[in-house]
Amino acid sequence: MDTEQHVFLRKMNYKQPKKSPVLEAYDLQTWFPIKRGILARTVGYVRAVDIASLYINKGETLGLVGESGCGKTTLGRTLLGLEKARRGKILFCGKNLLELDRRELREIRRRMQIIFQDPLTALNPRMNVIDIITEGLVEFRLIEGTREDHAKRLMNEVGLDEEAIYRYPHEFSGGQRQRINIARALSLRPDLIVCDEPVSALDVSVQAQVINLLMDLRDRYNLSYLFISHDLSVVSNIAHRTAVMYLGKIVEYGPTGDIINKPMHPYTKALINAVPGPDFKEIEHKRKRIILKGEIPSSSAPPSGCMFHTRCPEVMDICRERAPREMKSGLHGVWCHLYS
Amino acid sequence: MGFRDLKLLEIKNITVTFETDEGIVKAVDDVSFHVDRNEIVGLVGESGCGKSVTALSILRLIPLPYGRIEAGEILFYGKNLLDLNHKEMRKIRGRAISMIFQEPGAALSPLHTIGRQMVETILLHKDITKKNAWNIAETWLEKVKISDPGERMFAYPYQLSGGMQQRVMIAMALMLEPDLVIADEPTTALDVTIQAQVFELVREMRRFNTSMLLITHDMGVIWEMCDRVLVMYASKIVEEGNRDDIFLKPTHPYTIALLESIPKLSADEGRLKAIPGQVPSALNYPSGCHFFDRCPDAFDRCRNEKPELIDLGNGHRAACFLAKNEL
Ligand SMILES: Nc1ncnc2c1ncn2[C@@H]1O[C@H](COP(=O)(O)OP(=O)(O)OP(=O)(O)O)[C@@H](O)[C@H]1O
Ligand SMILES: Nc1ncnc2c1ncn2[C@@H]1O[C@H](COP(=O)(O)OP(=O)(O)O)[C@@H](O)[C@H]1O
Ligand code: SF4
Ligand code: SF4
Ligand SMILES: [Mg+2]
Ligand SMILES: [Mg+2]
Repeated sequence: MDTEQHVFLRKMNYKQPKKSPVLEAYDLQTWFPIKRGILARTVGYVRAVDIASLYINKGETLGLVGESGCGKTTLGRTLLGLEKARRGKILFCGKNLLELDRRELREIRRRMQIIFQDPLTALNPRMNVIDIITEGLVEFRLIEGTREDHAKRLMNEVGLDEEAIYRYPHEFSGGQRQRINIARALSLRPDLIVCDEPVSALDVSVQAQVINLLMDLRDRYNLSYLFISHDLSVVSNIAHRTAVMYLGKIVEYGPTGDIINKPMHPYTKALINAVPGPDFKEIEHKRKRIILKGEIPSSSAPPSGCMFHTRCPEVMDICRERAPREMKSGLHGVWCHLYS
Repeated sequence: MGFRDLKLLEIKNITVTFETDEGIVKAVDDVSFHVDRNEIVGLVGESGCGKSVTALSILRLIPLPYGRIEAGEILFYGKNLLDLNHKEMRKIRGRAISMIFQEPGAALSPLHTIGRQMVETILLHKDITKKNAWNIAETWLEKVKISDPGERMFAYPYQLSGGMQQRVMIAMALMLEPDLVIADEPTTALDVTIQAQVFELVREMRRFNTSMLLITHDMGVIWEMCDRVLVMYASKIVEEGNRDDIFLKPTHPYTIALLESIPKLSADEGRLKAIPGQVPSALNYPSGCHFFDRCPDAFDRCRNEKPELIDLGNGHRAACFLAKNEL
């Protein structure tokens, strides 16, 4: 397939709403109790994820952007069942995760993997590469040929030198360690990988290598990604669709091109305008300098009405009182009173 | 030549080495540059290329006894800082040259209130009453847009968010009205919308005639803040020039690759231009051009010979055998 056709087909893929969703989540809510005193009484909640819905198609990448503490990691972990949602529903290939028995759950754990931001802490320093990337394979009895052969195949796949098979994590650079993590996640032949800031700790030149690798693997194996990052530029290069999160809520989502070229939510606009660097001609609209005032409020005491109203340059009276509802046109949705 | 004609900061051929278990590491190799009055100069490069060591050597804060400034001069208003004794150097630090670090935590003590730390710093350098020092500190908190500065003077660092701590750091670096501020990745730990606030603040600070050496790994930050740019790779300055020349007419293959590999805000998904390989370890830099094993244009001569910076006009210089002065 030539690249142009390839790109076209890929675009068609995400222009189809919920074509064949690998993952669907509805109204997820994950709160953490704040405990005080010797009796550890619960005095309040950190509303890390506060009503969020999303879906990811087969072979599709959904980007999730937002500032520190807005709940991106918690949402990712909730989807994988690593945090318990107090409300909501998660469907994996149409099956409700909360209604599965142990055996089914184990299988689904295999089919959903995660890659973390800090490649070193995610790797056990006392295990060598072959043990790290075949650990899951052994557990799920998926080894083909010898363990060495299988490990070497995976290492080639992610661009690691197969000679390094018996080395330990500290002997690798940051970018190489992230490749080890990717090989480990890939080894179980997952359908979905949650990539939580996979390149944030890497140098720019290495960032580009790792992003390219993730894109190649996605296209080769028709993988789905939830790609979490605080960096909208990174997300815009890999994600077919993008969701923007603020204080535990998704405030806007849509095809990445629409989010970048036709942002609707004032917060999305501010994020785009805060990206440092010269205006690149890939963006249609003229960027202007919007500087948000104030700090990000605490997610344990979110502002009333629209949670962005304390920093919003376009705030209106109604915003302080009433929370906006979702306004949808095609695949693009936004929660803001400007559009209701 | 009068005082006013002297260059604010002129670094001449400094080389800094560290003794490590695996051998001697040359972290900064024959680096020269200058910062003029009222100028913001950016020092950009990937991690480990020697940016922080360059900054620390200006203030002679290289960790002893393993680190050593082997050669060179650091001229501040024409006076070589390397010739000063400890007492004279202490006077320069904080007063004439101040520093902002990446992690505000590294410079603010968790044990004392913001106000106390600011006042003590002022009293160290200025012969004024405590009350006056308190007023100066409070005014500066206001200038860096800290809300309720009077109250915040009594706050401990942990009671402030990262963005606010960074603004306190900036206030502390500016309140003695230094001639030069060295800022090492001042916004790297901040969220983009908070980073934008700090940029705005620094732009306003230019009114106070302060010059700045701004260290970053982010070309976007350079674009937003700097008049002139120094690009560093593997212990050497490989290109320098004014901001627009660096962005519009990058000449060194590393600068070009760096600019191309940055993920840009884009409406279309697609592969990025990556630089192959990785930054070499300081223990084994290539013997010729340090960029040799990653350079797409490398040829035979680059293997064993080190390129010098070549003048391209208008203060634009690049250290590559392919760079030509076409003027
Ligand atoms: N285990 C936990 N217990 C209590 N609070 C938590 C826990 N995990 C996360 N939080 C809180 O939930 C909120 C969202 O955190 P989360 O880590 O999901 O944010 P994030 O968007 O991933 O941020 P970052 O960009 O900094 O990684 C924060 O206020 C955080 O302090
Ligand atoms: N205290 C030290 N001891 C030994 N080597 C050091 C020390 N500090 C820095 N280096 C080395 O000097 C080089 C440059 O480091 P640094 O200036 O911190 O890089 P940057 O700030 O550009 O990321 C690196 O190879 C680093 O490992
Ligand atoms: S609802 Fe109001 S406060 Fe919220 S983003 Fe829209 S305009 Fe701003
Ligand atoms: S001197 Fe040679 S190796 Fe170095 S940057 Fe120029 S072309 Fe590349
Ligand atoms: Mg996170
Ligand atoms: Mg540094």
